[in-house]
Amino acid sequence: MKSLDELQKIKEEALSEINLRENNDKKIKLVVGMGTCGIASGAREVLDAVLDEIAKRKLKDVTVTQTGCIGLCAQEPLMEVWESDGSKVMYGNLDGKKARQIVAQHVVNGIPVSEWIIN
Amino acid sequence: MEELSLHILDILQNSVEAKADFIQLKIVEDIEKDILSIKIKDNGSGMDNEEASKACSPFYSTRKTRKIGMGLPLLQANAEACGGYLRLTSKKKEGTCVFALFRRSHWDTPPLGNIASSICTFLAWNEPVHLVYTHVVNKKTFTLDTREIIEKIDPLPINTPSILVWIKDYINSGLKDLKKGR
Repeated sequence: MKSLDELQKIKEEALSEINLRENNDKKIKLVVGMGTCGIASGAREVLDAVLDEIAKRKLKDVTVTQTGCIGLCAQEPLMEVWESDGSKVMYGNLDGKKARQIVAQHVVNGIPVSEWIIN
Repeated sequence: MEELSLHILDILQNSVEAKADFIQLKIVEDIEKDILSIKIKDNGSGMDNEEASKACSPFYSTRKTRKIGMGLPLLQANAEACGGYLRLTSKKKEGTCVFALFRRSHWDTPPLGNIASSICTFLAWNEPVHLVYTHVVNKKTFTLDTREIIEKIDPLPINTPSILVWIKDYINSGLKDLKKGR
């Protein structure tokens, strides 16, 4: 059985890395659509993959959140990538594998994956 | 939906959209009584009798973007197809309780699926919301209270990816212990 005390170590690690990047204002926000439509078409796997990838790569200037139905149900699962300057790119018809690639290519290297962008 | 845990994630979202900040999720698996039940109780805005009676219709939604809401009707249809039922109780300004019961042995009862993943996904929501998750398997209990976690990780938010990944492992190992020695 795992213990809640293990959280202390994870917290210290996370905090020390945040302190290192304090004056880094390049924050990226990922938003996954989680309405009934999103959930039914696999949005949970997308969010799971994104979280896992971010934790694995120890990316600290990226936040992940979710939202209700965005209104493009036919293209779910959807994910928006918000840059620090307020611009946004929306990806559609995702799965876990595509989501991981978006983290690697767009979030880490700054190159949007144009073939999955929808308007 | 292919897994009950996806229904759970879906109904939990309803609670947040109803401005709940405290949600209790209780799952009970009882082999002897042949039941699998899911209860989600929140302190959100609640519904009056008229709204509550419409909530299980797919052609009712409080959402403004369109008039269709599939979450509760899908869960209800699923429960009823599996020898069970869905009961919705709600009081304006006090909150809503959704209770769904499935016959465990029914052919069509979906697997519970990846509960840990549903809960972590839910906690990635950007609104501060407390969740108490209780899972009972044949009278053995596992509990996760996000208030305890938030206390330990303060000032980090609960949707920090490394924290969510840890919570997922924590739930999975807790459930494994529950199901041991069946």
